[in-house]
Amino acid sequence: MEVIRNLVQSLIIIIILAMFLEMLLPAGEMRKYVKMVMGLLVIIAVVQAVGTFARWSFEGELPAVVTNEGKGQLPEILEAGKKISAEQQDRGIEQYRRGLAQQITALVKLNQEIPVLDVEVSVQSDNGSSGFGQIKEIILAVAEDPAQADREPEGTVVVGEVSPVSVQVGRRVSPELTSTGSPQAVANMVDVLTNFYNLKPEQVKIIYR
Amino acid sequence: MDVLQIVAIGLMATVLIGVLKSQRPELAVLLSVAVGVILFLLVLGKIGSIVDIITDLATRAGISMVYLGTIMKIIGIAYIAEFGAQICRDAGEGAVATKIEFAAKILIMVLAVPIVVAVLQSLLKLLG
Repeated sequence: MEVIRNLVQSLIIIIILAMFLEMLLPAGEMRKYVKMVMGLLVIIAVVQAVGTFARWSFEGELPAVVTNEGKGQLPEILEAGKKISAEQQDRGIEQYRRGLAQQITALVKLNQEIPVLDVEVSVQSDNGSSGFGQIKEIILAVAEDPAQADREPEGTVVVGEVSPVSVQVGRRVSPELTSTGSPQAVANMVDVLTNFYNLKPEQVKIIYR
Repeated sequence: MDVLQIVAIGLMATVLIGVLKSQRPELAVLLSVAVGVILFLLVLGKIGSIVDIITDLATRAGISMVYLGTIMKIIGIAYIAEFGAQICRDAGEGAVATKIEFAAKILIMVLAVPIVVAVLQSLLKLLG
């Protein structure tokens, strides 16, 4: 009984709606066209109401209307999305790089023999490459004068000319380049870093300042 | 009292257009357009309440707002085309008026396509 009551109610509302819409129709040539479309709408509404009453699903999928609306906006939105994504990625890489540098600093400072001034990490930032996010190179700046490492944070010490030196595991380190820290300590540090980050020895470079 | 204003504006415009038509027919057309816009703006605020009632009825009847939006667009197209065509006819350009009506019919048919397909699907489901 309740279902029939709902059906009748829906039909009455549909009829009132149709009447209301018909009042809105313009007079003249266009009237019959609009009336035809409105008639179709009323048919859909009635079929849906009857379908609900009979527990059938008559609701068809509404095909998309082809309009020019927003046609030109899509590429712009996609472009902006890519830009934002690239920016976020760059920020993420930078944060990751800084985090790694701090981690390596903490790691090398465990060895008191080597006074590390600065740590620079370069990371593979090319999104398309297979090794995206991997460590490309670690550059450790080590103080030639151990006392310099203590003074350096104050920012009053003038840093001398930097000569790049690469240290590799298994290779004998020349004693003149390592005025501070024993060659063994430096080799151990490089070994720790290469093992910890799964790097090749040539990826860890040491610069004496 | 709105209706008095509207009728007064309409009557004044009719007299003015009648006078202008013999002297400056091009200005008569412009005056006709201007009066049409003024009258439309006068009743624009009231259209909102009618749309609200129709939306409410459609919600109660369980009709999708997509269909209702399409119907509203179709009615709008019909009105605009009708107004435009009448103005063209008043200016003695019956051919242009016919083209406007033709364009409006095409647009109405394009907008009606989803509704026609939906009706077809419903009927096919009913029969199938």
